[in-house]
Amino acid sequence: MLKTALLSMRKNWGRSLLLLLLMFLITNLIIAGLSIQSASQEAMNQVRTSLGSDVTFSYQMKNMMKDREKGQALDESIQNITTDMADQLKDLEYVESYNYTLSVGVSSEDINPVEMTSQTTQETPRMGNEMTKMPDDNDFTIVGDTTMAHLSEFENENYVLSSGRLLTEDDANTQNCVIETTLASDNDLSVGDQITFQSSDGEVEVTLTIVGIYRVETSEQMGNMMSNRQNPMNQIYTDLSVAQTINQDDTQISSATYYLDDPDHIEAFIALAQSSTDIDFETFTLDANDQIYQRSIAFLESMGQFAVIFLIIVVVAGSIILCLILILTMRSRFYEYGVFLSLGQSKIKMICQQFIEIFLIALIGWTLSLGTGKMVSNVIGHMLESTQNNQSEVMMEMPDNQPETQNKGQKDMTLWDQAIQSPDNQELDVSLTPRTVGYLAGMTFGICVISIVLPSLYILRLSPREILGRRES
Amino acid sequence: MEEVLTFEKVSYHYQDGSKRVNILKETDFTFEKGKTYAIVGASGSGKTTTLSLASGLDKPQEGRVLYKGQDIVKSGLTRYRRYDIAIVFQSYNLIMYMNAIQNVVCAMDIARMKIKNKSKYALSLLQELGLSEEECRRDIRKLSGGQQQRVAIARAIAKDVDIILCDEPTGNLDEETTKGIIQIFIDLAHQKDKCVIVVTHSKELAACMDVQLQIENQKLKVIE
Repeated sequence: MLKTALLSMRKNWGRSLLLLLLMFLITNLIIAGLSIQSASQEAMNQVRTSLGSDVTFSYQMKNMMKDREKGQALDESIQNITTDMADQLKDLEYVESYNYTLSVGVSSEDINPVEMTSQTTQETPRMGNEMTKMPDDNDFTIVGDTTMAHLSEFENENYVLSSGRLLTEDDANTQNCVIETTLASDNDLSVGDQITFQSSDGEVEVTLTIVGIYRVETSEQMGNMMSNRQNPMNQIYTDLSVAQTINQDDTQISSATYYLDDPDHIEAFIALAQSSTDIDFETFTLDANDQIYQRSIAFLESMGQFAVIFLIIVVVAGSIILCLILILTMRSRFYEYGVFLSLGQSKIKMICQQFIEIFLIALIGWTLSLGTGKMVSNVIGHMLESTQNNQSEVMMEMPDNQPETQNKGQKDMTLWDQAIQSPDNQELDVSLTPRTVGYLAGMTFGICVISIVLPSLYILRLSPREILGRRES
Repeated sequence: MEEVLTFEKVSYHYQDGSKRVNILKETDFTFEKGKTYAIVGASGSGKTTTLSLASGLDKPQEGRVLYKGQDIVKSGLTRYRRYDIAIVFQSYNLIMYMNAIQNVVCAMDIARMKIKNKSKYALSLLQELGLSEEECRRDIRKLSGGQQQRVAIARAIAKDVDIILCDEPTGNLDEETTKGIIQIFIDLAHQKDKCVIVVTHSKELAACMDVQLQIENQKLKVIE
């Protein structure tokens, strides 16, 4: 059969070439579809990863406002999160580590804050220890954390440690702190120095030892700051216990963040939290940046769906076209089938021979497309990379994957340049993954099988006498 | 002589509009090995139908065709065509994308013959029938009618079957070539103990056969 198939293919090279071109086109289109699908999936994964696998437990402002009475102060209507509530979540499945945070406004007679405006300086001149402070004039924020190991500002490198170290769980119940480098230089502070802070009501005073100094590289808060204490340069990172001491309540926290083992487990974790704890999720919420994620991936999901539809169309249309070509080919091979039948060849073997012929052609087309498919998927990869960067710039608060100049350079690339260059984002270079090659092989094989079905029915209803009788007459 | 093919009360008809046309009706006949048979008669008398039934290209509507006592429909028409008979057609019916050797080897492959070097065997058969090696390897379409018919006969002989059925085998050939082909058939029957059944219009060819048959009143009858 194989010998006969090879002979037939060689002698009918024109037909074989036509089928090869068609198969080559189909396989490249399949690669394009698979690349879109894989790259959009990869891009979605990247978006998810960039948003982190952390879930923040905090109060749900919208629902709390519903319960607020007219004229009621905000702090009276807000229900605080307690460590008891947060502790219920820390031992749930998927949680790798956690961080409880409590932010408290404080003032200090030892140091000057990094001023927001010169006007402020004029209005409330500060002269070091000679300054007279109002009890409610909090220039600093004590940010008490269980650990600084996973703080997004440091992980995203918006804040960078410049000397000393960050606080870890080993700093629990210590008076250590980490301050910003501008604050440190304005006040001639360095690692090992001590600073004293007072609570708003002046009743609590804590003396902290500086163990680390960080530098603010970029900050999203800068534009929205209204007071000194909102300035990230005036933030003092301490252990949670310090903030609780100043707050004079060792049960309250501002929020709790849970770091999960995998971003894919976020939804499962939220569902588990809702089903296995007594926390009122009407009042409190577990936020996984899901809205940002959903907004960011909407386009990518559409791309993924488009890829599926595209693949279905390619497979169906490709099969139909191949099927029609094979039927037309078979009409011209009508007499040949009659001869084979008269020699005693079974119809099943004749169908198998047809299949072998189309399969061998598909195999060549498939092999060739592994080379050209790389180019197709490079183009797709570039397209998605560009889309992803635009998405991240416009909608997301995630670190820049690409310098701006590089994006502009990409826009200037010709189609050929895009085809021969892999995307800079290696995750979007999906052309030759074993998965893509495997799917391509499966789909190509499927097209061969589908395209041979109808022509096979044609062969099955052949009668040798009818064919040869027609020939003889 | 060994009986090899038997028509047992075989009937065959076809519908021509509302009219039923009987070709064969309860006809009985037995063909033997080592003999040549010619089926003669006017066009439309049922010669080709008889050959189709004998070759398993069609099956009787009534009665049975027996090969060595076994009903060919029950044992399988494809199997019968593959292992037990060979057919030579008026228009040769060769596979056009194969050369002469490949055509012969293809038939041997389909018949699953266990011969070590099939190409060499095919070449020797073709050379016995008067084709040169160069002609055997030439594009089949570039051979003359007589040469193509010899290839078709070589293909039939290569299968080494008991029955060789021929439909107007000399219809497209010149007189000289016809004589050569007739001699091949006679030798196949008398020297290689084959049963050769030939459907022909040619009186010359029919006269050379051991038994001449005609279809009379929808029955196969020997012409005395």
